[in-house]
Amino acid sequence: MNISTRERLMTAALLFFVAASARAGEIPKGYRGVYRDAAQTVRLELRESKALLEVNGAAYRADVERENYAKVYEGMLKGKPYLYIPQPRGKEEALEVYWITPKLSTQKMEGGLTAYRADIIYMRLNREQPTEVATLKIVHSKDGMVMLDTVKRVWQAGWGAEFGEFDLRRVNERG
Amino acid sequence: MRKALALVVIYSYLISSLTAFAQEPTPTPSPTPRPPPSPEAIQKAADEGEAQGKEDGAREAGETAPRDGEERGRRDGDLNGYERCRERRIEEEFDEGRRAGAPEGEREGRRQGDERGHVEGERAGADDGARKGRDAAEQDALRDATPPGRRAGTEEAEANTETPARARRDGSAAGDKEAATRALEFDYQRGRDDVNREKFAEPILNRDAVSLRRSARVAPFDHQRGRSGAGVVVRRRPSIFRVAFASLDATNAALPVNLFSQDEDKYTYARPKASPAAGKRRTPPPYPIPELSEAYRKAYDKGYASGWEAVYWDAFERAYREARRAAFRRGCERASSENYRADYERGYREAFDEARAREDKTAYDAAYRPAFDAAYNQIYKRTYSESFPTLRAKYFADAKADAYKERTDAIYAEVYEQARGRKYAEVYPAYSAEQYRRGRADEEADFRARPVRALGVEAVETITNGLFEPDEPLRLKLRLRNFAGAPILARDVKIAFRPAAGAAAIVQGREAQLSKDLRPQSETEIGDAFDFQLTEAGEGQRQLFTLEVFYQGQSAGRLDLGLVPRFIAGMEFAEEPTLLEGLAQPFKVRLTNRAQVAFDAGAKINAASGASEQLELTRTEAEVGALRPGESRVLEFPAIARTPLDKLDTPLAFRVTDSAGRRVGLFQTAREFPVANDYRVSVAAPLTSLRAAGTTRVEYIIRNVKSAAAYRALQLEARFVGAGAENFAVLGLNPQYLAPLARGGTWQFVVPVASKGANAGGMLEIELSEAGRAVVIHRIKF
Repeated sequence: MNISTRERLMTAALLFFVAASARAGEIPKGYRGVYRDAAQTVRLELRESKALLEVNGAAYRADVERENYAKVYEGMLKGKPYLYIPQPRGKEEALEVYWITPKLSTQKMEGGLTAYRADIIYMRLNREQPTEVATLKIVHSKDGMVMLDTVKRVWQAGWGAEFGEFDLRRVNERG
Repeated sequence: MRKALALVVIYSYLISSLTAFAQEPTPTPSPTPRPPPSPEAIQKAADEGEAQGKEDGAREAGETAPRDGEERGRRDGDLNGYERCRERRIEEEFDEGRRAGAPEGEREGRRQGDERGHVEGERAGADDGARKGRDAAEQDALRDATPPGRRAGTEEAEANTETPARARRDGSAAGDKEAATRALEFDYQRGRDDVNREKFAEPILNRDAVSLRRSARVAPFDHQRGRSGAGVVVRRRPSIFRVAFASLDATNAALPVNLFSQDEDKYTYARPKASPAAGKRRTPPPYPIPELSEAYRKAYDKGYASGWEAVYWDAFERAYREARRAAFRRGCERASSENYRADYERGYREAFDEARAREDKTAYDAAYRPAFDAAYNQIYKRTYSESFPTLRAKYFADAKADAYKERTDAIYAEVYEQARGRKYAEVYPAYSAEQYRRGRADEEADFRARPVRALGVEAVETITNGLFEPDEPLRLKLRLRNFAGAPILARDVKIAFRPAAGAAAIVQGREAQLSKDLRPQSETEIGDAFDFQLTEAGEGQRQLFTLEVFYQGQSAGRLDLGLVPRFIAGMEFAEEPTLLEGLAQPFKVRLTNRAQVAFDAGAKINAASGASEQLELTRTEAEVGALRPGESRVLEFPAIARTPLDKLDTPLAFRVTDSAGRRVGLFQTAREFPVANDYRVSVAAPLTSLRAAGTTRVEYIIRNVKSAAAYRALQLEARFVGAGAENFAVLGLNPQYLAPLARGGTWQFVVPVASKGANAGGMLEIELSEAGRAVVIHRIKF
């Protein structure tokens, strides 16, 4: 194979992977679709920039946030709900998806720290996913917590020992 | 001619000008414009100019060409004739020289070659003949002289009577000496051994048992302190755990252009360039009108060149050829008259050398071979006939001497061996009997001189469990036998007991004396001899001792004793320990009962660490419980590491004591233990600001060392512990919840805390859990 042909193939592969990987504010192509758990109690639908979840009798719907970290921080400070995919740090391959529904009545501000409880749905996606995945794991906690450091303007979100962990499988449904 | 014509024209012009001037001294008429001349007038002027020019050119060429041709032909002919004839003369002389030189060269070559071939062939033939003649003489002499030489040597050796006589003398002496040595080494000892065996086989008429305890002159032995009044502390390993256990008990990158051809009649030459501009205008232009004059002039030049060309080269050619022919001959005559001797000699030398070299080699080869052969044959024969007699004599003598020696040696060996064997058989019985008798006598005398012997020694436990424990008081028991028919006085018998150099033991007293006489033909067991202890420094290693009995100052026997001290409780780690910061992990110690009796049910095991600040043992004592002999049990001692490092270097000791407080087991180690939490916590800055009143942002850093739980969120709880904890409070939601952290990743966040007032410091504890399971508890002292 001559060099020019190899270069062409590599460029084509790079473009393909770029197309398959997530851009800011959207679900990677390989994850879009509908998923259910074995007990049929959870249904998750992922579109390019929307997500719908039905779990334990509750329904959640959100658009994937396109704003940058600083804007999202400001929104979180005001108690705005988000389905947010932060840019990975360094060489991390995984995208973390935070789907946060705040419970503003629990908000506390003390020592430069603002915190409130929240309903949190969490999943991890591969940044570059060229093919459709067959399975997907998600975590759902009704007793999560969001903390915002008003000095450094960074936030954290997590949950305690009580949470639901669901292994979902892709199903052939249309949304 | 041209000059004359030019002068006429100029003169005519001047005359006409002057006449016109003289006739009309009229004032200068005012110029009136004149019309240009007609083309016909111009053409006419041009025609006239061309005709005139052609005529002038032809005439002048006819005058110049013969002169030029003659001059050139003369020069070229002379040069060409000289060169060509000179070359020919050189070649002729050279060839002549070669013809003269060749035969001379051949004669000389033949002469030299023949002479040299003769001389060298003769020399080479003589050398070769001498060498080969000698070689042949040597081979023939060796072959011819060896058999008779060997025969003569052998006969002479067999005729020599001195050799057998000498061999007999030597053999006889050797046989006698061997018999004596054998009797001394074997029969003497046999005599002694037989007496010894007989003595020991004699019936023991009396058996006694004696204790040395009451009669031994020893100082009281202090078990606790490990010292004695008269003993010597040999070695005691210093315990680094004395402090730890003190609280537990009282007591763990370039010629010019060639003008000539080879043939003298043929030649070529370069034509010189003709120059119409050099032509003379004999007739000045007759037209005062410039246009006509210009037309005339141009046509004149053209006609001149044409007329020149038409005449010049033919005339030149004719004059050149004639002049050249004559000059060639003169040049050749000049060349022929010169001296060409050097060329002749050059040809002569060249031919001479060639012929000489050629004939020299041929003559050499023809002369060499016959001269070589003649010289070779002559010298070979002479050398052979001169060398053979001398060589034969030499080889005969050598063969005779070799054969003589071989035969003599063989005769000697045979006679020697016979004589030796005969003598040995003749004298050995007497030697043997004598040495056996002497051995018996000496052994009996020894028994008379030293009738008491030590038969055996053993150590006796004072704590009967099948082990010689470190620090266990031990005694010796030994057996003495009196072989005499009379009592042996106690005062005549001393017993010495000594540890080997470096033995881990404390021996009280080194000598003891019998307290009771030994009855005749008795065996006495002496107990309670010597108090001694094996120390823990030698635990598990064989310690050596020597016991020696003296009778009337003479050694009556020496016995060695080896003892291995062992604790009853053997201990080791049942699992390789791994610690966690902030979380209890057990040291699992397997304890084995190595004694032959059941373990003390009331025994306890205690643990101690030499780095109490970094390693917290939450349990330091445990009941061991009853253990059968050989039975093992694993006991756990939870420990919490208090270090942010991934390993902890600390001494550790486990001590087992029985219900009486006596130490019966010790396991101590000083090594690194890994601290292997899945997560580690640290703070970004010291917390000294907490000593003052106010709010402090405690920035913490969480690092996932090795957890692969990607979906487990983290919970972080901060609290103050220890003295003064009430001075502080954690602000905000506590515990905090953080997102899952990938392996190798870090989170950095903040927990605000408040100090209620100035204080002397305290201890902040940060507990991190993963999905509710504590994974690290980190303490920061400030």
